[in-house]
Amino acid sequence: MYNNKPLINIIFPVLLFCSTKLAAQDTTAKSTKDSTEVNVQQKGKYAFVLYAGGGLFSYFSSVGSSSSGTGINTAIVRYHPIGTFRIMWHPDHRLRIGLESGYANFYSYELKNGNKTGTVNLAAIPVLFVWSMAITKRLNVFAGVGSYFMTTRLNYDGKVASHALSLGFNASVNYIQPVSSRFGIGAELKWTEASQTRDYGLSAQLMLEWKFLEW
Amino acid sequence: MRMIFIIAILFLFSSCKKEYQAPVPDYNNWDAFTLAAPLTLSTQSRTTMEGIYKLTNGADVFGDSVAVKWNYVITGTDTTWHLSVFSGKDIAYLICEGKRSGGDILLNGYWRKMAGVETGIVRLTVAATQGANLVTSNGSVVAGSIIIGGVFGNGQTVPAIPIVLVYNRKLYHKGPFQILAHRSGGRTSDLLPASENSVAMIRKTAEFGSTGIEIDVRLTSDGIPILYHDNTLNLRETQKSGLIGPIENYSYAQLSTFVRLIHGEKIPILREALDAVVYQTGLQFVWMDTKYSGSLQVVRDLQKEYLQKAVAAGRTLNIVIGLPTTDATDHFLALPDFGAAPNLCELSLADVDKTNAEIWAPRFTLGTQNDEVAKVHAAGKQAFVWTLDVPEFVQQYLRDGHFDGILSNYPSNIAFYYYVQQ
Repeated sequence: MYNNKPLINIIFPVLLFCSTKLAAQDTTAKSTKDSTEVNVQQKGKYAFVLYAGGGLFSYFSSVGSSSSGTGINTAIVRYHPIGTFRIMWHPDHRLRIGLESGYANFYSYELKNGNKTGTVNLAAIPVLFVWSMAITKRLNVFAGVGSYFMTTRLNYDGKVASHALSLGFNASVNYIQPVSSRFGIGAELKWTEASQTRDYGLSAQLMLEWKFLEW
Repeated sequence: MRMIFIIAILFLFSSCKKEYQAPVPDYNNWDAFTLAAPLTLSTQSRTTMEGIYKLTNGADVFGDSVAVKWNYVITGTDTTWHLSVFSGKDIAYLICEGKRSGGDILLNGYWRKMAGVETGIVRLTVAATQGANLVTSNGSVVAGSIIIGGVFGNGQTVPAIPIVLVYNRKLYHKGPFQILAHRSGGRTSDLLPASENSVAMIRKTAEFGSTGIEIDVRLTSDGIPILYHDNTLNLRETQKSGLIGPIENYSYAQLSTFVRLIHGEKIPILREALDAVVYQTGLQFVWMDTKYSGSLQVVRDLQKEYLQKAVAAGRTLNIVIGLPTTDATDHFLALPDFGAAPNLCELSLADVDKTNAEIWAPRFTLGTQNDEVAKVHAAGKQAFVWTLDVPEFVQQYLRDGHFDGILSNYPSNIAFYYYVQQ
């Protein structure tokens, strides 16, 4: 009667399928390039690339309800800083994989109850497995699935820090302008969603790229 | 290749889950009912009207027969009576308020199928010559002597589909039997009009056929017993508030200020819940399921207080402490007066003896266990079974088992199959 199937159940197989297909096609492309050149495949360059960025997160989801009478729905502050830290392995074909973490301050609010004031802040540290692909030379798309380690900080009638885990995903696109052979700078738009707690929003970040290891 | 990747990401964004809803339709626009006078019926008259009715119209939607029963809720000094109709088809029920128009009895309300989200308005009439006079004069009823006719509709549409209920026989009743509603009335996920484990649900549960309730008791960080099922604050039970994690992390002041249940109610403290049971309902049984680890003294104190209040109010009410685990049992046995504390034990018969439980409550997956139930009865105790939701199992346990009560998320389903027995 109530369909509560996590979105992640759909996303993960799709991405897995895509990554398998992409890898297979890449191999096929190489092997058919010149069928007479057996064992003459040239290995391209491999690299580890670090992305670090920061910017502004806009919370899109709703909180509370007008009927509940708490006033949370109107007190919510939706704009907060966000930071991203991502390490990617760039092999010699299009699909790249990596890990992403960072910090997202989802929302906060202040509530008055008589002469008492309370504040609530909800933030998350994501730990996501990320796939990415270069759409053009400088335009990259990313998709990640994993967990968000959520923390509530409440200050009302005492302080409470309470934690929970939420499965989730993100999807982003960035444009990186190289400034040297190893460094680049650019901008990234990212959709962040902690699915279990239904927290989601869009962020714009300034992004630095550092190809710190290449072989 | 790129396109596949992009499509995958677009698919990711477009994926969504369907939100099901079954709002109670607004049935307060029947002019004849609005203008009608209040319906005052004696207890005898209500009992006269209750029974098993055959459907000569509307059977395709509500089944061949239904059980009809009155129930009430008290608000301040006002008592509101509802006539509930329990069907065996798709776990359907009708809930109506009554009024009098001339010699006729008008019944206005809504219907719902728990096996889906279907609902609609229902308008019924018992004409003076078709049983209303008989009901008000406490006359003796026989098959065919009361005819409840009217119309029902789908959703918010004006009802126009005919429905006719014809009195057939009395409700089955063989000794005390408890129809217990899980989480005070049913799960929030079943799209009921009040949140699970709320005072609002406690006030409504008799409309669904319940004679008693099971409620889930936890402690806040400042030691106040509250009603809440899960061990964390989550979106299944509460509106989004920014508060997450174990509910025991928060004080009652924090929860009552920031957290609301799905339908907007505050998380009730146990005292509020017991107060509602004693002074606002006719419920006969409360099963306080222990959902936390720790001393049960505060729960025991409230149990004692409200058992005394029930006696003082002239109520027939039993309030038991539910012991689902060995941990809860150990804490119960640590109470100085545990031997005098009414309790319900879900563990073995040996544990039932150890805690001096009045009731043994095994899970239904263990079967009807007639030999064990017989031993419990021989010891002067009762046996309840939980949690029976599938109609086939309900019928099987009523037919083959000897339990004294059934806990269900669908008490209307238990009510139907219990009352239609012969």
